[in-house]
Amino acid sequence: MGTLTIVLKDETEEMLRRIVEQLYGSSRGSLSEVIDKAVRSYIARLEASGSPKSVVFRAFKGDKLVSEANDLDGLAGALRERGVDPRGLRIVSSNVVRSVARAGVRARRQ
Amino acid sequence: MSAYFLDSTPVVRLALENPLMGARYPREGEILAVIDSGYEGFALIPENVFKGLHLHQLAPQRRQLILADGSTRKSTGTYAKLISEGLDLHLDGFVETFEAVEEMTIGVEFLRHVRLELDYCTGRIEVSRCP
Repeated sequence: MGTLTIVLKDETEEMLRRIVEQLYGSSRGSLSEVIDKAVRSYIARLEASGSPKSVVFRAFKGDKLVSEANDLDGLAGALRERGVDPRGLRIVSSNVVRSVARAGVRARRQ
Repeated sequence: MSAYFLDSTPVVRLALENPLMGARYPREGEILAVIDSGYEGFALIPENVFKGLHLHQLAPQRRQLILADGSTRKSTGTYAKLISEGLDLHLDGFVETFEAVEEMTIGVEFLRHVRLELDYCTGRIEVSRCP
C-alpha cells in the first residue's frame, strides 16, 4: 500500500474527520479506508461520465473520412489547413446520437 | 448572473457557435436557454437559429423526438458548440431543430458535463463544469 502526503482545505478535513468518526468511531486505519473509498468512487464516476478528450469528431465527405479531432475547434482548424470546404460535410461524434429521444415538456406540436 | 430562475423555470445564458463555418448566434452577447432535464438531447433550438449558424449547410442527421403528448417529430441536427462565458463552459454537442421549436432548450446530454444545483428555497442556481 502506498503512503501519500496530501493537503486538504480546513473545511474538507473537518468534514472528512466528522464522517469518519460517524462511520467508524476512532478505530485505526478508518481515515485511510474512507479516503480510499471516496477516491475510488470519484474515479469511477469520472470514468462513467466519459472524459471530454475521449470524444472524437469526424468529418466525412460522402463515405470518405476527411479529418478528425477531439473537438469542433480542432476539426475546423484541420479542415481549414487542408483547404476543405465544410459545406455538405457530415460530422459524426464517437458519442453516438440515439436515433430516438424524448424532447421534454417544452417542445410542442405546431 | 449566467444561470437563474425565470418565473421558476431554470435558464442559462448561452451563445452558440458553428466553428466549421465561423458562425455565432447571437453575434454579440448571449441568449436564454431553458434547462429541461426531460429533454434527453444536448440542445434543441429554433429553426431560424439553426439556419443563422449555417448548420443547415452541413449534412444533417435526422432522428425521432418523442413529445410530451406521445406524438413524434423528426428533428434535423448536427454538431455545434455551446458557450457560456459567465460559467466558463465551452461544450460541443448535437444541436437539433424541428419546425415547432420556439425557444432554446438544453437537456441531459448537456447536463452530463456539469454540476447543477437548483435551490428553489433561495432562488439560486449553481452551474459548474465537472472536474
